[in-house]
Amino acid sequence: MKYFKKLSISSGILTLLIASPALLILVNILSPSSENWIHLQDTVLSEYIFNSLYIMFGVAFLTSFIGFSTAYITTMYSFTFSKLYHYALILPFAIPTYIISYAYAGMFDITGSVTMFILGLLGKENVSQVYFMDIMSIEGAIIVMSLVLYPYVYLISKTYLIAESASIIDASKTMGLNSFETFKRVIIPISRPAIVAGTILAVMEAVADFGVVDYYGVPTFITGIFRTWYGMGSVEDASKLASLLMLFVFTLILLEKFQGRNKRYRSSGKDFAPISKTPLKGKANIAAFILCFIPVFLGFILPFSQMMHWFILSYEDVLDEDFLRILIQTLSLGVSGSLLITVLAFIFVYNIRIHGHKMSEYLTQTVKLGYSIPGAVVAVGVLTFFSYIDKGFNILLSGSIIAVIFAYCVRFLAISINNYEAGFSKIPQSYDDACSTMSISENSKLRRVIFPLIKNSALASFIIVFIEIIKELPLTMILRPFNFDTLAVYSHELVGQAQLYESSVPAMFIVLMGILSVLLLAKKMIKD
Amino acid sequence: MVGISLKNFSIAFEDTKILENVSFDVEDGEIVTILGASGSGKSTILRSISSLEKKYKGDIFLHTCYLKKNDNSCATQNIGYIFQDYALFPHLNVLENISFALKDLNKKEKETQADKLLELFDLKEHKYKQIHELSGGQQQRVSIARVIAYKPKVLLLDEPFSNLDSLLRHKTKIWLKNVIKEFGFSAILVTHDKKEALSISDKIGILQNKTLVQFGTPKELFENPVNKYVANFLGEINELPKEVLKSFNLKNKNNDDVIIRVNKTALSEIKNEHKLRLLDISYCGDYYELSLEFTQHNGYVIAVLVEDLKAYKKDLEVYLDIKKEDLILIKS
Repeated sequence: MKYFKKLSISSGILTLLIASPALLILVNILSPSSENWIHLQDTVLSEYIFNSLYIMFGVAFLTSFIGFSTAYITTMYSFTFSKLYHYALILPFAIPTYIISYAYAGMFDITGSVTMFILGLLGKENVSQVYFMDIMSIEGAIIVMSLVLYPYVYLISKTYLIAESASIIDASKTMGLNSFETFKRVIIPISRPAIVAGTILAVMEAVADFGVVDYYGVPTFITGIFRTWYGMGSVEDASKLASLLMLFVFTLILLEKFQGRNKRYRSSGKDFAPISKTPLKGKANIAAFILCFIPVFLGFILPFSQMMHWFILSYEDVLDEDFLRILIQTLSLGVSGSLLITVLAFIFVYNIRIHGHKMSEYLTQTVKLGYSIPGAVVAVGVLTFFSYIDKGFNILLSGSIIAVIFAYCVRFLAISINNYEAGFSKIPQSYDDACSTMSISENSKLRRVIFPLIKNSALASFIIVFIEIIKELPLTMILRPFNFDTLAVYSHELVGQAQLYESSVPAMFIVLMGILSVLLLAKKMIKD
Repeated sequence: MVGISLKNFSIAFEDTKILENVSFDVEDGEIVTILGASGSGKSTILRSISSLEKKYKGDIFLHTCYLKKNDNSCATQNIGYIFQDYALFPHLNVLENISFALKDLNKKEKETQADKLLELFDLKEHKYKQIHELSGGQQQRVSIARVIAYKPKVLLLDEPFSNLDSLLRHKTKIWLKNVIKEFGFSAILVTHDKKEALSISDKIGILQNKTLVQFGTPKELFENPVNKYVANFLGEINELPKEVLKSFNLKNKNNDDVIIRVNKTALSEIKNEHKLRLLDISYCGDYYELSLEFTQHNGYVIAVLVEDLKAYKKDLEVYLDIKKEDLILIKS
């Protein structure tokens, strides 16, 4: 009994701690307007709002189009390399948005390698002589973000189509509908909730992005927070901007929940029926191949090749003692952060399993909201939170590694919790009951039954969170101690110093670890 | 000696009452089956006896030991619970599963004890196999061996045959009955399968409307059901018009319903006052099921089983052929 109580109390205290930064940020929305804030309102706030909305809609349109079309084609048809595309289409997930934006800038900006090559082919000297869209613009930001974020829509739509559509498609065929009519009248309507869910995830990532918009010079909420903080030195106004952005994000979450609740369709059959894929031949086969190749090429092969090229040109200059120090710092930060998160998430999920009451679930849901809050906003919240602790206890935790790791907990606990939830769902409750009826103590049960059965989920959670921490940019930039760099921050700083080639070296390390994460995801997909 | 005793047992989940005032005793070496529809609270009784549910009212005794809600000492290692899904640990092999709950023994002693059970339960050749390598029947035997290993006094079985196919189910039923008798356990089995209940049990309890409506030997329940629900639960019945009683000079003081077992219902071509019209004929493999309605009593449709179709065809008029002693007067 004492054991259960301890677990419950720990979960409650942890939830309060993890939710504190977000609560402090939300409270800021009610604080009175300062002069700086009035200045922001009069000058750049409308631009922040407009640009953030523009990016949202642009990314929503592109990711839903690319993600759903590729999901539909690879689920319904078999064509050349279709099995390979099944997994290749998630490869862009391996590249963080800010890294792809560096690669694209290097290739497609005014003096980019591809731009110069095309100008050479056309016999022109500079871009003023031809129609040219500068990649370093808001539209460019939308394109590069979409190329990396479309797998959200692809994965959710594909899972949904595989699980739900077989019998419905068969029914529409027996009623004489052709493929196009089935697509228009059946597939699109039933897939809408999945498309919207995937798109909202992609949009939330886009709104939270700092690296792309900062490098491409697009003023948004996130860059606004940084400018207000560093440029104007106003933590309060940065917090207020953050609170506005958080409201924005929570509105998106509510929208997703609302549409999900009312429009989620489930096939009436209990048994899962696999989809019989239609084989494509001739032109249709080529068209399907090309349609799936474009996002893989633009989202992974092209930027990865460009990064690899720069890496080969510059690694000798970059790989020095300093780099090794940064690598070790990054890895130790990743290991300690993900280890702590993996342990904490276990406490939350195991608490739900043992108690099973609503309160435990609410606590976990509250903690999971952290993942939807942009990194920069979490950072502002954590700094505000720690400033109170610093004052209260007369210590200096803000600006320390503790603050950084705490912020990672706020942001990434959800990933680990999701992993454990999936893992625990496969361990029947009767195992716990069996232990109880055999008078096996709670500690013995944990050691002999639960840990051996949940260890794979724990390991997967550790690796995924580790990679997320390695990739994280804005949160680490704001909270890191003085002179403490990570690979992501180092790469961003090199880009800021116009050392694009050199930036590819830390970036390649991040991408390679990202590929590991994608391989794990692919393995899970095969298993499921 | 009484092995398990429930006195005025009641339980509710939040505001929903599940069971009220359930009382029954299970003697040593006796198999009692609790029968009831899905959601009637059968498994809740087992879970409460094994202290998995604690929010009940009333008393539970294991032998002379009073089961306290906040103290597991009485239940500790006295209860063997066989779960519907067997709850065998997939990361452990057969031997490790069987010796899982053995305490205060060294590794060698645990293995020796497990070996005896492996031999007894015909599982010796599967000793080092993983659980997924076993058939459903073998898994069930492992789950029973696992609880018998720590020598409980009471065995609780939650739908033990539901995951077995019909051939294996019959074989396992006989085997399990022998095991329970041989070890002298007090056993409670819950099921919704009347055949299982009738063939394996010393006593049966039937749950209806949140309470135990009848408790007794299978014969008592079958022959003297307290109400139509019990009668129907233990075998197919036909409800007859009350006028049938007149032809047998029987009185119906309490205005009870009149029923008869389907297997006691026959047809005759000899005219009597109970004329029937044949509505439908269903082929059921070993026999045919005829559906007939009383021509003079609207709404009474009965079933009659025949091996030979003879000249039966739709709309044929035939007559009811029953014996007085087979009629049962019963509360609605």
